[in-house]
Amino acid sequence: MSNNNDPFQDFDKRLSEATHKKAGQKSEKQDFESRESKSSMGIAFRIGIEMVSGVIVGGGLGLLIDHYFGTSPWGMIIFFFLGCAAGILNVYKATQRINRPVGLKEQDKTDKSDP
Amino acid sequence: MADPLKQFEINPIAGLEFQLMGYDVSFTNSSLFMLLAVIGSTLLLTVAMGRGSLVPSRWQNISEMLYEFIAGMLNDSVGSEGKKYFPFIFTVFMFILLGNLLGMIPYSFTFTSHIVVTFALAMLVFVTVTIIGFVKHGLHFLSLFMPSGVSYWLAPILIPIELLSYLSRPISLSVRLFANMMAGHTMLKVFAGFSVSMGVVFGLAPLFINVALIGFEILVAVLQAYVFTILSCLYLKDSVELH
Repeated sequence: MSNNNDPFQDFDKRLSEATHKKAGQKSEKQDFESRESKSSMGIAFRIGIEMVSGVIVGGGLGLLIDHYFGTSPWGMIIFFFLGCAAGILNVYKATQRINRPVGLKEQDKTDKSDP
Repeated sequence: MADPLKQFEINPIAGLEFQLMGYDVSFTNSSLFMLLAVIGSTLLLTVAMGRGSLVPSRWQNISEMLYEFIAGMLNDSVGSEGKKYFPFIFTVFMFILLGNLLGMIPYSFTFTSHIVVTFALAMLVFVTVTIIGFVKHGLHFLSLFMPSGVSYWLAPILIPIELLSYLSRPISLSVRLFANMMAGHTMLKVFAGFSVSMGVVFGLAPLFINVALIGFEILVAVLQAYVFTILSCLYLKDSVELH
């Protein structure tokens, strides 16, 4: 501050300026982040793990249910297929995230009415 | 050729072997590097910021950049609601980042290359996020498993699938970090073994590959800490604002 007045007199103005500046920077940064996470190898690896983890959880849960309730092999069979579906759902969710900058999704969602 | 997986062996540090109720709770090389990561990040963020000068020194600049990076990431993904979870997210990020980067120093140990460690971290995130969701929304949090606008006769299929998808989060989170770190370090060791066994002349080629790979590994180390953190942020977003 060059003048000797109360430093808080134009505080609101400076705060709003800083906030606007930050909002401007935000989109720029998001572009950078989404570009950074777009190496194809990384995407392939990430998607693969998403798929496999669903199957692992489904199969594992099925085995546990069989173990505790003696329903072998039905728990394993049913939960394996549910796990595959969950894996594909994971892949779908992950690919939805890739092309969209972080934090945009809820802006889309607020348009729809929430029942 | 040296065993490329030998670097992942966990050995208790001599003189620090303990037993507690039949369990082996020795202070191992893994524990040592976890401690180093905690001490390192604490030193980086306290000593470097200690003076808090207006024109930052190099170290102060680094810690300010890390702080603003995570704060911006949390703000972008969760919004202003997420600010109070900043300490948690930042701690997770610093721990993983320091663990990955300390592992890049030759002869050191990468504790993030063990699935026990990464799964514990992922479960920490998962359980915390679930508790936050239940505390914030109560039983209404369970509507996360029933997307809005779905007809009710689909619920018996959809709810188990969404539930399994939710439960698979810690697995994918932990396997991603663990597999990246372990694969990278194994690859480095394999190429290093090649350059030893191929002799002085032909061994130069794997050596140059290794130089490139080390650069790539440092990138992976930072990127995986970032990915782990941003996914934690996204999971946090799901439970803070329900749909």
